[in-house]
Amino acid sequence: MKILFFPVRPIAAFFLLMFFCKLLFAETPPAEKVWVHLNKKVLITGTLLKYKVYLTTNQPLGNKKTVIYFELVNNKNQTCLSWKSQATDKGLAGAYQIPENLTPGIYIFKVFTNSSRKNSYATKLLIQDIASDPITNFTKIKDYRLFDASTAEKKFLQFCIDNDSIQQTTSVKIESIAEINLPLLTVSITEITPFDSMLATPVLIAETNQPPEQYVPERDFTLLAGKVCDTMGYPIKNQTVYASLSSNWVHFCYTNTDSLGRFWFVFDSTYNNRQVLIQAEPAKNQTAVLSLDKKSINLVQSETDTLPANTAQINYTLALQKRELVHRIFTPLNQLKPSEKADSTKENFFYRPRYTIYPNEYELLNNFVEIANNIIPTLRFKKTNNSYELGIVLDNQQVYYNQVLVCLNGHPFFNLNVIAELSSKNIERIDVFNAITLWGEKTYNGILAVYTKKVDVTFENFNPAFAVFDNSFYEPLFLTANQNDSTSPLVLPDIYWNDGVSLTQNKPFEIKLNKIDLGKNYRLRITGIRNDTFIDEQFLLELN
Amino acid sequence: MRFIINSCFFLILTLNLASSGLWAQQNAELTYANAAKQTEEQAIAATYYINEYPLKKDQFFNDWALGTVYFTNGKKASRVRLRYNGWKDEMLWLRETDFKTGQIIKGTINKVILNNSGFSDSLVFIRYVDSSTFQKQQILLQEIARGYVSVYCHRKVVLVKGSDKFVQKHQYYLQIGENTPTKFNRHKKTLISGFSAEQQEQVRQTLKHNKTRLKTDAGLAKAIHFINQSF
Repeated sequence: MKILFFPVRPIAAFFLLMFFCKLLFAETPPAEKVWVHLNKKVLITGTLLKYKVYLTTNQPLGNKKTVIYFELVNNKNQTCLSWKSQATDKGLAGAYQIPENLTPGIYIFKVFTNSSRKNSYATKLLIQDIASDPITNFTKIKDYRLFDASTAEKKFLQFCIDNDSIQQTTSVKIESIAEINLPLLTVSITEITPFDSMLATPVLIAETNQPPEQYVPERDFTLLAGKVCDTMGYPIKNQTVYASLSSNWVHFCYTNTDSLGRFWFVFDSTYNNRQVLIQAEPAKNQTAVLSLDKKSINLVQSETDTLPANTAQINYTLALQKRELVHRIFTPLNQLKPSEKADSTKENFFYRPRYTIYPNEYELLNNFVEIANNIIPTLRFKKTNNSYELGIVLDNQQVYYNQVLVCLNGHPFFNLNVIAELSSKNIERIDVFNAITLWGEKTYNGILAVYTKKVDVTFENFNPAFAVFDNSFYEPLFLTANQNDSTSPLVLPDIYWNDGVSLTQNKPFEIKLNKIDLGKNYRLRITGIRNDTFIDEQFLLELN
Repeated sequence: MRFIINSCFFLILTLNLASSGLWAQQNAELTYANAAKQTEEQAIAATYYINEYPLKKDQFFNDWALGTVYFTNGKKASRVRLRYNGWKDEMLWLRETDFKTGQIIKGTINKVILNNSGFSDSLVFIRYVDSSTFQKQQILLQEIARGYVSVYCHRKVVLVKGSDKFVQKHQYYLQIGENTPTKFNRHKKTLISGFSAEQQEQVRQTLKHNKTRLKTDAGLAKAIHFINQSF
């Protein structure tokens, strides 16, 4: 008996030690807190909401990225807009274009991470729609003075305001009194609006029991899962599912369903902010039903508060609209669209087509049969038994009618009846790849890619089993105010907003104010993280 | 006493098992890590390959070897069977599911690394656009040595006219700094003349001090290594 129990004590001691070690070194869940600095709180639809997000956490993030979720909630607690972005150790600077069709009103802007969902940052925003007023009597010069300088001196910052009458500019110098280890700060000067009292009331976040599945945690990719079933609801296994983008080149990926009919895609940044068409390759005598896991929330048109505004408030909004118009005139809107960036990173995996044909360069051809027979080499398009067949001639001069991939505007396309009706008026370009191509596990005898001009080819034309996934993963594209660039006129509707200010004792930070002044009182706000604590210093400026 | 020790032991065992549930979160993280890896991977696009001389192995530089293909878009295809065909200057890919062979589309790749290819070190091929010829052509060069001074080799094989015999016609390229690679014939004189007047003496001394044969790949790599160290 003694022999039997002999090893029990050391083993028990070992496990006890292991257990205490585990308790000691167990990783506590990161207590994250989000802080946000916005450029302004009164916005016009169609303009940019700029933000800098600071993340305080008890664990250094390092190279790891945290997804930050943004929500714009109306007074009925409905989410009207939501987007997300990734933050690193240094936080996140970005901008979001407020859609033109958003109903004007007061919204609550929430920012949170997955772990700080119930303890999110929240503030009120006023969103106004734009009026097309002419721009008149816009600029005049005024002097600034700091009227709460006594408060400023108590803080760790010092201010100096200079007025240059020759250059007609006013500069605000911000200097750090003590040598402190300050990471990047955000500095902004905004007007104290007539709406300030309406927006100043604190926002209380009601603890909502949102299902965590509503968002899929993401790093620098998007996970998309779904299921393919037949009409009776039974899963279809080994069904090829394609995910593709609308573009002027072929770009798609595919996967096969598992034994339970499930599939999943991992989209990289190429698919961000794009509508992705998910379609199951139709099999003979089988109808597939495709379903996606719910993920993104689209814009919801909903009623918000009508604003009983007084004269001062109406005048302010009108003036703000004028400034936004000037801003739009000087900054072309196409520079602000984040999707532009995503477009430039695409690559056509089929590389170069053997033939590229522009049907416009030829006589008018009424349908695709005529186009294929007359101007496209190596292509055979014929009608047999009320259905069309597409064949491709390879280098060995044989015609292959099977495994020929047809793509319409970048998407794999399986409905040849729609292709047959396209005339040379509708088609902009045709690419032909007449070679056997291996693409992963797929083999194509040839690829025909048709790119149309504006033609009403809806997603319903593609395939009975399809779904459209709006991958609204927002890539921040922030336009910094480049003051040194004298060639491009710069109008700062929010007077000044800089998301990356480094401040040391010897190097004061200087802001040169332009001559865009409407109101009387302005708020200078400096936000950042100092010694792991969030700082938010506000100083008031008054116009003489 | 024994009872207490035994009950402690079982208690600890139970607690340990229960705490293992906390690792579920870490496992979830692993799933996302795998997904992140998946985004880095890309399927190979290749055109179908037909071997014109199936019995002649001289056209190939190596036997089928596992390797990694790095694409121009920053993605890669890892653990794929690859082989370099010196006659057509193409990287062949063997699809192991149906044993079909394709020529990887050259314009889409940046670099190919082959492991366990029968050579002591892994083979590294890079894509180089040769603009010295009348028409720009993309060629795959094997990396012999890399650094401030780099040496590459085009593992060319030519078919002797009138017969089906392949002969080697390897062409070496020397690249100094950021300059474009230039052809060189593995002579000391040519190697030294590639450098600027100030550097030539230094290179001469390095080559003299470390007696290495430039005619072999290993010797050439060693010599370039010494030259790179001297700068």
